[in-house]
Amino acid sequence: MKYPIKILAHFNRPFTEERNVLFLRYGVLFFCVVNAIHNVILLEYCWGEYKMSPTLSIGKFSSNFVNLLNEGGTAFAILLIIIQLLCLTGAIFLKYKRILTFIAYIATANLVNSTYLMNSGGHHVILLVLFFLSLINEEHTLDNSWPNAINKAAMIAIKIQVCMIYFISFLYKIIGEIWLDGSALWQALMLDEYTLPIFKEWFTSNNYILVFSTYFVLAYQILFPILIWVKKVRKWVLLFGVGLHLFIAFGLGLFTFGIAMIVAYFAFYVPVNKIAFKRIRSFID
Amino acid sequence: MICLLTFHFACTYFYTAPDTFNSVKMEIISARYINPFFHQYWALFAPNLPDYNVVIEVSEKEGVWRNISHEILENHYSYRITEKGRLALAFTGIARWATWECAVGRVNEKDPEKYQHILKDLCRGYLRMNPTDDLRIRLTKYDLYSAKEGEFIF
Repeated sequence: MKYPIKILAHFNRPFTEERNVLFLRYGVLFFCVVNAIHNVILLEYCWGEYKMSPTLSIGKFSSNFVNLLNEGGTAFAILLIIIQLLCLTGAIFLKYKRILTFIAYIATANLVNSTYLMNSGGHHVILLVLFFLSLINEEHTLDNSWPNAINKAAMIAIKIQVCMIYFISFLYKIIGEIWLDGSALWQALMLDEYTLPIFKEWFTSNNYILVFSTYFVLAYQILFPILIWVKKVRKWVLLFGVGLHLFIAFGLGLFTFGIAMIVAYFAFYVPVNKIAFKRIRSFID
Repeated sequence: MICLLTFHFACTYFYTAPDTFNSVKMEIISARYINPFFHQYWALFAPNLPDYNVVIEVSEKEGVWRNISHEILENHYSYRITEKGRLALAFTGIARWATWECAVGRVNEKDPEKYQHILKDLCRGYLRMNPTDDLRIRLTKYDLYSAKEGEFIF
């Protein structure tokens, strides 16, 4: 009975992860600003005359809320980008954090779904993080209250979601031959869109590094959901993860995915202590 | 809260897990809850990666072939954090599907030559052509292991 009670009590204790939430909010805002710049440069390809992503088939009524840009429309898209960025900024500085983040989530979902051919998994990571962030108001920290319990549950949800990404990806990999024989990274770097010419030359002459890296990725993906809950090694797990995702961002060219995963890591760890955070917070306020 | 979290992540598992570790029935049921707000897919370079590259060339009517893959990929290599990468992903992804479609000679009877049409639209957009303008596409497939080549024009 000891552990179930401990778990239940967790939701009644005051929410203490304000630092993580603030870093997550800044991270998501950074991602959305980068994405907005990309989208504005590609405006005509995203929603204008030369719209590239075909219309998504809408299955049910609720899909309409996140597919408003299915048929394009540059003016509406720009309006949604402005709403998205304003709401994300507002959620950092104002007290209506839940509603502002939820509006930003709806705007982001519409922007992402209408450009799906040009997106990476990073866009979905940010969408999911945004949804759970819309349930959090870090100013509501009164113990034994519902808003506090919701904050706690949403924060756990973000963490489990990140673990799910690695775990599911691991399951897909162990049924693939190229991952088990160690040739997956070599093959990825041989594909034109996931390489850099300099890597292609260097890695092919050092094949053992690629085999080791392939198995390292497999080991990392299955160990992450376990080791991330161990406080002693958390920092190291995240450090390896940042290295891995920087390689994905710049080496494999999936910039948005690499950055989104690093942003999601803020749910587990932030690089400032409580005193420094209080100073930053009072400066922002 | 615990029940909600358990339900949500159980559905997420059944929606995203590969068939080997999943039940089709549960996948269909969980899709009703997951779609559209929590849609996700985490194969991430798995189970197997494509084992060929595709070069896209375009030509208006009977004109000279223009290699647009080269232009798009060179931009992607030079400007790593810009929007060029997203264009490269869109083109290469659809070009691979279109190549596969050509190689197997049609798949989906309801929507014939789906990816060939999408690729043509993508290329027309890239070249800033009208949707009705005539455009020919040549896809050349280079196998990574055997260096075999295949060519498809449509």
